Amino acid sequence: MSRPDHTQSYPRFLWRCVLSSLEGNGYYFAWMGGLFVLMLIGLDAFSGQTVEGMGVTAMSDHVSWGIYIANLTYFVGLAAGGVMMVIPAYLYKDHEMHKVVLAGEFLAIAAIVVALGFVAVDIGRPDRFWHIIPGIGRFNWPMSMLTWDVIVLSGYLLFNLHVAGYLLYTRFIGEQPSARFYVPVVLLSIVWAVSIHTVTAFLYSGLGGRPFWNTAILAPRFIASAFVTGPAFILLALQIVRRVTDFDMGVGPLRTLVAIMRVTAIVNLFLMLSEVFTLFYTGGAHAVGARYLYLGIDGHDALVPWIWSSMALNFTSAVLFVFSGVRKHRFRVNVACVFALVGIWIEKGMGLIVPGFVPSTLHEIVEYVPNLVEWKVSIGLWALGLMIYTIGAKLSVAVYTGAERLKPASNPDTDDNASSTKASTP
Amino acid sequence: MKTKTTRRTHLKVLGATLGGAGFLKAVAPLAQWTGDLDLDGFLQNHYKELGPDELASVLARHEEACKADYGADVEIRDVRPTPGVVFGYALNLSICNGCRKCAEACHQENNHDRASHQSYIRVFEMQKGSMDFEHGDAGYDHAVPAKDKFYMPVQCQQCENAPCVKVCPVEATWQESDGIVVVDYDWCIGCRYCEAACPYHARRFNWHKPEIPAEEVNPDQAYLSNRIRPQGVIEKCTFCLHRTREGRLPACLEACPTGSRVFGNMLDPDSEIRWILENKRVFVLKEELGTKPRFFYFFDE
Amino acid sequence: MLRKRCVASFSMRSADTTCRGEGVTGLRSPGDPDLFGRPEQRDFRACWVGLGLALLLGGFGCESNAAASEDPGASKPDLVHPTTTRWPEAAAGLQTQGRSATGKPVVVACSVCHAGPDGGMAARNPEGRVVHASVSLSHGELSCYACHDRDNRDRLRLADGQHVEFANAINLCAQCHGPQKRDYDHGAHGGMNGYWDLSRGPRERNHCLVCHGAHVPAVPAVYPEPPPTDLERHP
Repeated sequence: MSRPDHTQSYPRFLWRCVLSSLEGNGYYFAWMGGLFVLMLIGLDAFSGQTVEGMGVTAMSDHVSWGIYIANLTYFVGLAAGGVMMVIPAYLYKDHEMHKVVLAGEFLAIAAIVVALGFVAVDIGRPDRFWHIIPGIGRFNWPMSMLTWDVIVLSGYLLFNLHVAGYLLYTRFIGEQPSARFYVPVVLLSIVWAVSIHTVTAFLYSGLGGRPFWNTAILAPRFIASAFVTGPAFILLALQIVRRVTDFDMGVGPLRTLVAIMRVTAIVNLFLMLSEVFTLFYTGGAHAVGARYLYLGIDGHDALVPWIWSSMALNFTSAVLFVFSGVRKHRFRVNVACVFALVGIWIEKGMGLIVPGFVPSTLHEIVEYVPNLVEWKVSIGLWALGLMIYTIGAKLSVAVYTGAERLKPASNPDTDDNASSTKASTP
Repeated sequence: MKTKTTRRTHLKVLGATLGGAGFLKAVAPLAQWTGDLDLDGFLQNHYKELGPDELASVLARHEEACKADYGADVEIRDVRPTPGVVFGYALNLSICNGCRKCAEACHQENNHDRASHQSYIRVFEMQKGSMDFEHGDAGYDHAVPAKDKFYMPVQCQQCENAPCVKVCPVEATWQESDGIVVVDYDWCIGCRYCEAACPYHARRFNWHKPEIPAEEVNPDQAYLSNRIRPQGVIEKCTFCLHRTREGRLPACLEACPTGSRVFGNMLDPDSEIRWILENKRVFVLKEELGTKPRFFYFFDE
Repeated sequence: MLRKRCVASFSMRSADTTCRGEGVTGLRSPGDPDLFGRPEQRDFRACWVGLGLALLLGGFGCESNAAASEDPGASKPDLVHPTTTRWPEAAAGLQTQGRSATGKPVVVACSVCHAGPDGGMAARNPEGRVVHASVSLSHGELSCYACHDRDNRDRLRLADGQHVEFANAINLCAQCHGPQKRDYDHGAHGGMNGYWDLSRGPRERNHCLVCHGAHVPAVPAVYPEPPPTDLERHP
């Protein structure tokens, strides 16, 4: 077969990507329709927030970052964790993982888009976005950690788009992907994944005025929890993919993921306990944020139920991972994944950002709990992420099972029928 | 089979229409809001890159906008620092009686939002025998001075090594040659990283558009200090640079009835602030953070 | 050098000066420098110039009870702006209930009644006790004649017997409250309005008596401005 003309086949590939996201069965449309409605609700709340001012949220001059930045932190971690598929496949030559690498790539893409979305909804003047573009605006690099964050998040998104796009496109046109076009980028993205979450941690840990954050252990804690949430999400997603499509990746990748989480969940707990010990044993002003979070101060205890739930969830999930096998205790593994995702969302989101502000730098206590506007916007962005991931998963499965293939130019069959059967082996 | 495809297509079209309508409704407020922004403001460069003509037109535009939005005739100047001047501020904790007249003067001088009664100064009632803010209370509401308490007003310290300047991603805040840390309100993107970084709770964010009745607007304004700020940007104490760069005392000092505030040029060896630094036992807040504040506290004995 | 001394309120350099004229207890004769090191004969010339300037400047922020008294020797208008002191004129006599045409309270000079020998009453005044009934004295261990001149009720006296006009009562306060006076001279005590940079504009200072009553100097408690509104923020 002659080499396809990329100027023709690539646009066709992109067009197929768009069309395939609009095709599916009733369940698919119900799912995507529901997500779209949630996105609209979030968009509506965001419009109101932009026009009336961020005062419609529950944030204040005392707690000036809230659930948006909490979600940013969490989703950067989730994106970094997407690389957990990639490390075994490429560094440890685990060939079974190659089949499911795209699950991690698309998690990275979706999570980064959502993280960037949370930045966009949190800034007071989204109309001035161009001020931060290097070369056009003013870019305070290297002093401002936010500029590092802009660079690493954008880069990570581009790398993952490239790898995912390249792998899908080559299979779409029926060719073997050539290692030199993507393996270096993959290896770079492994290192880069650590950097995105480290830089995000440095945003907080560099601030001397916030002793709750000003700890060297913050970046390691972020990496540890990222390497729990990423695999947990992918484990659940792969099982759903196997349920709703005819793509069976086998149990090998799932076992690898659980093996990873057995270690990382315990490391995450250990680092968290280290932090708690140092703060509470020393005591004093340095620990007052932790006292507020874990015990409450003077009757101000809005976060206490959150953090203790999170600790229970994290402990339980770690124990469940250690004592459960993928084959025999599938349900327990899934429960552990859900617990880990929720527990770490609380711990790295609300349980990290808000206590940094309570008490304030002048030791005033003004509490914060997200209000309806913030929940709507957050859920809207979560829906966006799920939508992107669904499309990515659907596309990956279709391309890998052969359902999506480039038709030869001489055969003017209609391209629009996604269920056309061609050779199923990639 | 044909019927099924047609029904499916119909459903898709219906879904797309509903989705499109929902989307338009959701973004409608945004569309109107972007219509209210003007192109000149959108394209305006950073303060440090504005030439004299551009700056003049920016000031004129803001004066017109203030007239249109607030009904007040104002004059917005660009007041530059004087060479050879570095400002310092000292506060005598033995004399301050916690009357909060400084905070009130700041509120009026700097055209703060009236509803929130915003001010850059917070006065803490502290327990005698402790410098710990954990025993401090800014919300006291009784006759002052109270027994066994002393009063500590806190405002921007105009740090020499300011963490807020370090963290701003777009360089919307910087330190000028006379030591004042300023904000370009037209460049700030409102990310509030500086507000998180400041150890002294000195920065304020405009959560809403400020509301001030026309007759209460202070018309003597400067671009970098007390002009009425737009929604969604950060602001802070500027040592009243529209006054102090012209040699006048800041509003908080003029309002203080006890005279516990001392202000001046630290580079002038004959200034009052220098006398305080050389003859009183001054200290700064959170010295261990290395911010090098230019706001000094002292007791008489 | 001397000119520099007269800059701002009573000079920053006076920290290193003791009270002039052989200390507090010595007698002062004409020609001796006054408390601030200024030779006496300069006072009168500068007085007039300062007065003219004070009139020109029109009294910044004068309250109804205050009158600006010029600061002798502080005026070289081309180099430095003057610092004026506002002080309560009503302290220089007995404030009555009457009001003048301009609305200011009528202040009766003490010698109007105390015109008799040794400053006693010139005539029997059956309401005498009532007139001074409002004066309570709570100023440490001081008695009336610690500050008031027995022979001439229109002026005050220092501890060494020297006479001080009511307008210069700040010198009287200073003889006991040296540290506060030193701080006042260096701008660290007592309110001020105007310019920090006296090469660009003038300044007006409070006299001690603006805040501290002479008889009960303790500053009364005041009710503060309202507290910040952002402390109770319930989600």
